[in-house]
Amino acid sequence: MNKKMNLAKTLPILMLSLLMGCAAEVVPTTSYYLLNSSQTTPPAKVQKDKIVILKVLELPEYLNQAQLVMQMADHQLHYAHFQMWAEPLKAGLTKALVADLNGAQQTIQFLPDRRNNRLNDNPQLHVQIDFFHASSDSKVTLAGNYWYEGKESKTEAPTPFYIQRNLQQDGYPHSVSQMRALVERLATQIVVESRGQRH
Amino acid sequence: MNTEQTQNQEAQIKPLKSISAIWLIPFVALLIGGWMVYYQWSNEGPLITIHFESAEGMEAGKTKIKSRHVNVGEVTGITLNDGSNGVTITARLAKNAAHLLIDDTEFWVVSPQITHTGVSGLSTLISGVYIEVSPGSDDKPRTDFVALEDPPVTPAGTPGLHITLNSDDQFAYSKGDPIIYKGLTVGQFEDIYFNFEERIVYYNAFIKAPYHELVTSNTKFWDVTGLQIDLTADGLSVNTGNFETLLTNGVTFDVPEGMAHGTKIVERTDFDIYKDYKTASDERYKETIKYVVFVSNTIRGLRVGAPVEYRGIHVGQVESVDMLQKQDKTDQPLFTEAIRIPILVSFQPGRVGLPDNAQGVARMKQQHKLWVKQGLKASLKTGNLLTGSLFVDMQHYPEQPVDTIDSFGDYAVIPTIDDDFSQITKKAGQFMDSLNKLPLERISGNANQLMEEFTQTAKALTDTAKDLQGASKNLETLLSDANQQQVSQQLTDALKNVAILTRDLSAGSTGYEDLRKTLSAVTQAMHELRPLLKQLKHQPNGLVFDPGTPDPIEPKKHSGDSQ
Repeated sequence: MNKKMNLAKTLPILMLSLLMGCAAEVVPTTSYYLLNSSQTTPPAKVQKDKIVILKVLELPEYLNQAQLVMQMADHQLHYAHFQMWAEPLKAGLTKALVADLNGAQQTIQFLPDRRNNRLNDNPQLHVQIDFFHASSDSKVTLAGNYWYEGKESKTEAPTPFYIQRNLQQDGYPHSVSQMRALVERLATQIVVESRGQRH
Repeated sequence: MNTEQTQNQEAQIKPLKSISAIWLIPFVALLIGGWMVYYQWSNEGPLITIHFESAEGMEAGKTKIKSRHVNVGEVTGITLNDGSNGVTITARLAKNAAHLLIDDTEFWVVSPQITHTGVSGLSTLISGVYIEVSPGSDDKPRTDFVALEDPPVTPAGTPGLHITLNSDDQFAYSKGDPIIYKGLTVGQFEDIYFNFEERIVYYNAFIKAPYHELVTSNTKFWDVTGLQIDLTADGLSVNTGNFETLLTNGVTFDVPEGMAHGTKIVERTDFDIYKDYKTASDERYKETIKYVVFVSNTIRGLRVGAPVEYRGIHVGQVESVDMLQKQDKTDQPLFTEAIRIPILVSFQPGRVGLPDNAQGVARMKQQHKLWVKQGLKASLKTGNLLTGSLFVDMQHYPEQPVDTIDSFGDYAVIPTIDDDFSQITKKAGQFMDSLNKLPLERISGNANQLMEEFTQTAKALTDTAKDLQGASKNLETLLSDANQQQVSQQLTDALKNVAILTRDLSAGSTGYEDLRKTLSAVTQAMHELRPLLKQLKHQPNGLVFDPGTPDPIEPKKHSGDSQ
């Protein structure tokens, strides 16, 4: 009889403790990131001949996925399990670059390449991305080439770029904001270098 | 005083009265030795000599003589014959085996043997060969024997019946081949003897008891070697004895169906071996009547033994198809009778229920004589279309009676009538003759006239056709115009539909946008699923169990920078 009473008392306590153990487990949640977060004001309408189409070529395969990438060593990458891009990186990069290019100057309007923009005859800015990620040495890197393709398919020589920033904080949110800053610096660099070439 | 007395007493020498008792010992020993010699002599069995072709495997003092696996003696000496044509074995038999030494006792060497009838003597591989003695049943004593070269197939004294089978056909039986009765092996061939004068092979065979009771005076033996396939006028027949005879040769025996069993056989009797049951069965008829039938066509397919049928009843058989060769060459019958080939056929009264004796023969001859005069004819007919084998068919043709019966040699002749094929050929010939008699020239003239009239009519028709052709062309042009207009309209409608379809699917259209959104959603879903799939790949039970701690790897702030 006493044994039965003891069992009746201990069983609920045991089950409760097990449930509490489950509840105490930290369940990781997935975080989604947007590269181009700020809502940029649309540029004023300009003449057609002042429009340049931005074409971001296909990203490297290791960047063309939802997870954020971190370089651990020279030849080693790490894909974050719970840190993901909210949209394809190519789309976000294009939006951010277009916004920054248009914000860095007022004479030319950059437009993303769309199939229905019917601006095939306008000059095109091609951007090819080779590296765009954080690394274990607390840096974010943006590297690649860009070049203009003018009318009649005149193509300029590619201009390489390699931009790095140090991380001032831990964690992926800060790294994403620094990556966004790298895009802004690239836009500035393109605008500046383009002006220098014209002059 | 005492000394004197002593000197006066001289030794008295007395002669020995009896033999010393010590001599009893050698005497007893002598008696025992004598008794032993006598015992040995009195219990010693007889000494015999056996002549062998070879003493292979035998040794003096070791090789035993056995009867039914019981030692009855031992080889004491082996000597080569003077002429070196064999060896003489001297053997001492046990005293209680002396009764074995009679005239028909057989000796042979038992050694390992592997034959188609079985394996025997394997125990001698270890123990060495021995001499087997098979006691006979004679009363005459004998001490000098000639051994058998091979073990006898049937041990002496086995109950049963010894018979002699003979064959002048191409059969070859060997020692030990089975004799079968309804599938059971009831006997076997014992030895073979070829008679050079008769050119016939005689086989001594033994039928063991109680099956020897089945052998009677009317018993027939026939060959059942292997698988016998026979394609005759009666069709295809396949026969075999039993499984053993599929591999070896063999004969079977029985009393042919419908025949009396006959008297019981009690002593060695000769029997013929026939090639098959049919031949054996036909041999039951003793009385036959032979006739000659002249055939005007080919006899290809007609074999000796082919049936002679009277309205479908088997009444006889063909005895010979090469009578011309057997005739006297000086008569040159092939040339004198070139267009008719004589066939010798036989009728057996026993086949049709008549007594198989002279009375039956007389009645059958009389009946045949009457029938032949009333129109009985013989003809060759095809018994089997596959093999082309022929048989002789007897039919009544009352419309063709004959007055006299011809003879060929010693045989009466049964008139013949053409066979079916000949009749067809004859009718075809008659048809061709009738065709030749037709007035073809006159018919040809009429036909020419008819053709001219037909040509004129055709010309008129051609003119009419030309007119029709002109009208047809106009009609065709009219239809063509109508068709072109209709086709053009259909093409225009189809292109309009294609344009509508293209517009619906073009960029910016509702359908295109829907498709694009769907693909985008799918792509997004795949992006979402990818980490999960990777996690499952890394940890298949991650959905159920703890997936682990949160990702510990994340970017760290630069050590040189302050927050």
